[in-house]
Amino acid sequence: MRDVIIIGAGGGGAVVAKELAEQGLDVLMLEAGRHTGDAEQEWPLYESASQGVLRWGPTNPAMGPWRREYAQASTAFQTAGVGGTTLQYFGNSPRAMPGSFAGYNGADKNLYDNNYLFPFSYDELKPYYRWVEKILPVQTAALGTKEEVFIRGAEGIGLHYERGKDVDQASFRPQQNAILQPGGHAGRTDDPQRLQFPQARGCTYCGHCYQGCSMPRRAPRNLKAKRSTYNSYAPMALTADLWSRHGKAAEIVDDAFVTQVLTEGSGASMKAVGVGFRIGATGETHVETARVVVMAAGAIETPRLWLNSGLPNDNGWVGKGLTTHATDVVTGVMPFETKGSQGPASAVRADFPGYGSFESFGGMPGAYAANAFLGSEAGIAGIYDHSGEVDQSGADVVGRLVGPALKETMSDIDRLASIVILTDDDVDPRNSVSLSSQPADENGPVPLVNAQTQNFTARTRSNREYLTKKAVELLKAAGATQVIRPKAPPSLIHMQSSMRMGSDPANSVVDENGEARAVQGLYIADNSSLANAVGGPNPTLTTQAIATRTAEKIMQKHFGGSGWVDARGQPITSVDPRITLACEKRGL
Amino acid sequence: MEANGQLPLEFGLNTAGLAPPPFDSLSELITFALDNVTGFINPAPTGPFAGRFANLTWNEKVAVFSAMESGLAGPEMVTLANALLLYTGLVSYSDAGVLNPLTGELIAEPVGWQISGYEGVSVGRNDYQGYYRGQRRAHEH
Ligand SMILES: Cc1cc2nc3c(=O)[nH]c(=O)nc-3n(C[C@H](O)[C@H](O)[C@H](O)COP(=O)(O)OP(=O)(O)OC[C@H]3O[C@@H](n4cnc5c(N)ncnc54)[C@H](O)[C@@H]3O)c2cc1C
Repeated sequence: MRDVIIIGAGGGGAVVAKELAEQGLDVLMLEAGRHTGDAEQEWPLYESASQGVLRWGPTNPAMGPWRREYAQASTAFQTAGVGGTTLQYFGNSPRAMPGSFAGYNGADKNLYDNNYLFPFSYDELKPYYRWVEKILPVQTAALGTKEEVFIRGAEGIGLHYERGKDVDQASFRPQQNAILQPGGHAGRTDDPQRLQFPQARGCTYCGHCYQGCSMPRRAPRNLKAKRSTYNSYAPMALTADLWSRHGKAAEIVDDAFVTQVLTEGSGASMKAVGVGFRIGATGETHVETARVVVMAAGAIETPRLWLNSGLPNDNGWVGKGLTTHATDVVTGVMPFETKGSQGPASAVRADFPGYGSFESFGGMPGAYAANAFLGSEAGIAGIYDHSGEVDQSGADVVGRLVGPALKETMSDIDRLASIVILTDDDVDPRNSVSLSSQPADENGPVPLVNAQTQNFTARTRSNREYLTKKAVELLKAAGATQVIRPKAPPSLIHMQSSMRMGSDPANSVVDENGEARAVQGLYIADNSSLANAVGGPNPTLTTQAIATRTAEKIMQKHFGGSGWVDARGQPITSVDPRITLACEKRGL
Repeated sequence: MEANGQLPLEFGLNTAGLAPPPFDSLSELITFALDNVTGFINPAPTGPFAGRFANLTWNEKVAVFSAMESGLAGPEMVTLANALLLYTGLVSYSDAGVLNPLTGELIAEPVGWQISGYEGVSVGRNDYQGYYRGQRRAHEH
């Protein structure tokens, strides 16, 4: 029997694994996707090639993706593999809005989703933020050309410049990014010879954040620029015996899809005792037992697994209350260079407490065209519009671009400046993950994801419009000759709160310690356990801070330990030379 | 669609198992759906193609998509229309058409790169502009 089994080695799961392995517990991580061996070889820079490797699907790229059903015209982004969706994320690591937490008393208190606050205060979480920020580490992003364009616009509309990590007024700032910032030749040349580690360190401005980030070439795994948990927390967990005095190396089994959480007892004494899982390549099934089970399969798969395991759902909130940041997108065509395809995908942002946030984004042409111009809930720009609304955002073109209009606008990717809107959207039980009636796959009934625009509350809608209007103003102030709003359906890149924590047992699945209310010894430590949309900021840092807190609670309740994170805590960071040596020694 | 995107799109569309029963492939499902809606716009288009939709004029094709996106033909049609337009554009602008899956290398420069001015994949770029106001660290309040 293991001490702890963790389901999913992504944004949240790898954090719990590292923290508990460092404390000397026997930790097993079961990961549905691959544990990449050599990222430089395995993660192609080409967009289409990476789609078969970095995706939600079996480890065998020849097989189709795992199926999900959707109630709306947008599909969920998730990546299987050690690192999970942080393999493809942009590393933006802002803290949440303080107003999303219990005990907040700011003048703007009434602007937040007050029915569904976090069950503890923002101050309670701050030491955990600091802890994670040191370990990843999180750094202030340097600027490239597209960031300078954004900042010109932000200054142009009179936004305040925020110098701190805690946001208390409408403001802009360079991102706090889980990306090692450029050092040596990085960012200063495009000559591959000079871009090898250690001559180049940190972000090389290659523009391939979405392709997993294997830069700089020849850097040890824990010194790659983007701090996916593949590069940061997972290798620390796997080498905990080598750098922590009491540590015990965690184990990972990849290609292992957990299909059942096993329990004993019933009613109030129901307890998690282990899991059943299936190896993708062979179809073999296995059972492993543990004193504690942690679900960290992400905001869609954690509720799916709960429901497929037949666990209790007495208050009906399993899978309910999914928030998605009700994203929107606007793009400015600039009469000058923006270098929209270069540099980190997003390195500058603006935050509007009570409404949400927005941030710049760039990338490769296929994804750029799709994200910026092609998805629409209105129709084809200038031809038909079924939205039934008069657009108030100030955009010059509303609707998706096709044919000559698309060709003209996309004719120079390095003159585009795009912004993605991250709305502080309300928890609403109509937005949900449930089981689809479509045929099951090899891992059981598949999930049905419902995040329909028509379900958005009035506050969600008005927040989204408020932010979009500001973003259009910013792009115009930056010099845009034309701003396009395709009226994209919300893109499911941020998904949270589908197994929410809360103080009220009537509308939450886990308690303030991350433990399931219905099953003892069963914890949730991924985005699904967030109480709400964290106010709009990108969710992962908050998930990781709470996962750290949950790890402490597990140690205290089940293994007689005490907490280790406090305001003065100095963790070993994932870029410490001891970790580099440990990775080398273990062949990672 | 740019010529470039056609191959991978066809591959994805013709892979068995991606479409719900009774369809064997996504392309079967899409043809069925498009031809069905086409029936309302122009029941008997003439032309060289086997599929009815393919024989429509540009304006008629737009009318088919408009009908699909209006929701009148059912919510699945809204999703399908959006997905078709999105996926076609994605594939056209990506490197999909010219990537040799066996070697992982390109056999030609993607048309999507030419028409978007994309300089191509790279292990690094020269675009570091320093830190805003020289501030390298955010403050703790
Ligand atoms: C393009 C893009 C950009 C993004 N950028 C940012 C950003 O800049 N900042 C930010 O904060 N967030 C960003 N996100 C979101 C971010 O990736 C997620 O918030 C984060 O990864 C969520 O962590 P998680 O643990 O909930 O889920 P995941 O990271 O998805 O991890 C879940 C893991 O569980 C595994 N798994 C699932 N089911 C099972 C099972 N049954 N058995 C075993 N294993 C299983 C999965 O394979 C996966 O590895 C971005 C997302 C996308 C798609």
